[in-house]
Amino acid sequence: MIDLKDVSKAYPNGVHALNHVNLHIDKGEFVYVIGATGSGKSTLIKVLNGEIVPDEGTVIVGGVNVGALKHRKVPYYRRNVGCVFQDYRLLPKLTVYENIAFALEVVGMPRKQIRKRVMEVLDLVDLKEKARSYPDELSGGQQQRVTIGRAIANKPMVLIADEPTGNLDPEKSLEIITLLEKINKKLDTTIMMVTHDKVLVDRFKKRTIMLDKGYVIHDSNRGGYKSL
Amino acid sequence: MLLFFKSLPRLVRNANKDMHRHFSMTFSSIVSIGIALLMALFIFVIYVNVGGFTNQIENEFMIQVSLNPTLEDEEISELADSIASTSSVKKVTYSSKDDELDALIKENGPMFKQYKGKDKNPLYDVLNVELKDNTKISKVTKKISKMDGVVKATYGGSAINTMIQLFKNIRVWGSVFVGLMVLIAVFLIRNTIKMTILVRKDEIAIMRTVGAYNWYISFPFVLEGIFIGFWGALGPVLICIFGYTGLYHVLNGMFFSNMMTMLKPYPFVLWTSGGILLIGMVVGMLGSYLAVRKYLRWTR
Repeated sequence: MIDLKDVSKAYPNGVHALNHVNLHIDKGEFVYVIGATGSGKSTLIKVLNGEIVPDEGTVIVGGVNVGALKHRKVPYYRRNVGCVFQDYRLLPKLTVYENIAFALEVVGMPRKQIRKRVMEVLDLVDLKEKARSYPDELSGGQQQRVTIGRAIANKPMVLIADEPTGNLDPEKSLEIITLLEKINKKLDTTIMMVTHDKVLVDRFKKRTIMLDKGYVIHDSNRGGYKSL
Repeated sequence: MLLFFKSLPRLVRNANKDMHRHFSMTFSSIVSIGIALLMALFIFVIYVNVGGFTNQIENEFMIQVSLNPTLEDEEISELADSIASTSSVKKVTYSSKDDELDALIKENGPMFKQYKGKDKNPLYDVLNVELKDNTKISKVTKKISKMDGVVKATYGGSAINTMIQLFKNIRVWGSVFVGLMVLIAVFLIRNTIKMTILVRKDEIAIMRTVGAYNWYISFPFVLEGIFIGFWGALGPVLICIFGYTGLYHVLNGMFFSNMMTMLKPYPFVLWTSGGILLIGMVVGMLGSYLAVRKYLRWTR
């Protein structure tokens, strides 16, 4: 599903964010990407969702060469890559229903289909009863579930979660990781989760990739920090 | 393309929603473009009517060249050709002293009939010279008066010359002012759309993340600009239709004297209103396009 071959990226300020990264992630896999601040995690996400182009190497996601994508094809590609952020990025003036529907509206889906799909998603993220609530009426965990709902509304092949539990307490973090596992199993969505949460990584063991100064320094299928 | 038409109602709704959401900014833009178009309208109405008035004067305005009575027909013809070949001269027509007397009698009454008959007519044969550019009348008159066989060359005088120059200036500077006003309106709309884009930057970022096409993101802003232009133009259009028609009726279609007649309201106001609406919408579109191009540019 995801193939990175010898990928490097340096910024104009001279920082080498990624250095000769080689990765292969299968369809339906759930992987953690861990590493200290400045290790290249955010750049990896940007390379994967087509926001930046690597200086060297190839990035293949679902058979698409992301780096070689024509500018106008990027939006279409992005419908296959859902993104979840630490700061939720919900639209405060829209309800939960409207926030999820928003992702479908912008790709031109007919209204009837939008209604059906949003109800499915709300059911999946267990927020049916909050459909008419506004983001500021929800807890952090619920807001993050809305963000996840919005990210999966288009049925993406890949879901990239950038520290989705970063702003949440342990109990809510548990809620989110459980939801992501549910999506991974039920929809067979490939999930890449960038995290700093040692407890989660150790408790819900999955393949764990560690980045440091732009290099992949560990890639363990056993999972957990202790395995690295 | 199909997606565009499918999405059009939604894009229009979004543009309307944005206008309501940022009502104060939208309102100030509408007022600004309205004022700009209103001023442009006033200048245009004056421009067109003064233009008509100037044309009326200019058409009646020519140099009268009095000819030496000793000139033979052949010499008169040569002189006419020589004047006609002067730059700025449009047309030269010959009028004999008898024709001139007839015209005098017609204009001023039968008392001048006493000058009819051989050797009684004190007038000269004349050449009437029309010019392409009436601002050069003084220069051309001087040149003609120095030619052989010319007794004198006269025209309406310096007062009328100044008036023509004044009208020409009004035309030129009026056009410049209208152009400037339109530019200001473009700039104001560009600024409003820029503010809207900045206010909505989070929403735009989310739209990009979930895979919205760039045109889907930018089109509502362009529509918003067109709507602002339309609403801004509506006031001047109403003033044009009702104000001009009313003024025409109040003044009986004349400014001060029957020399300055106003253009008839129909179809003038309809064309002008259509033009104002179109300018408003094009200006709105241009302003928003400039903002979108600069602030919604996405590169990777």
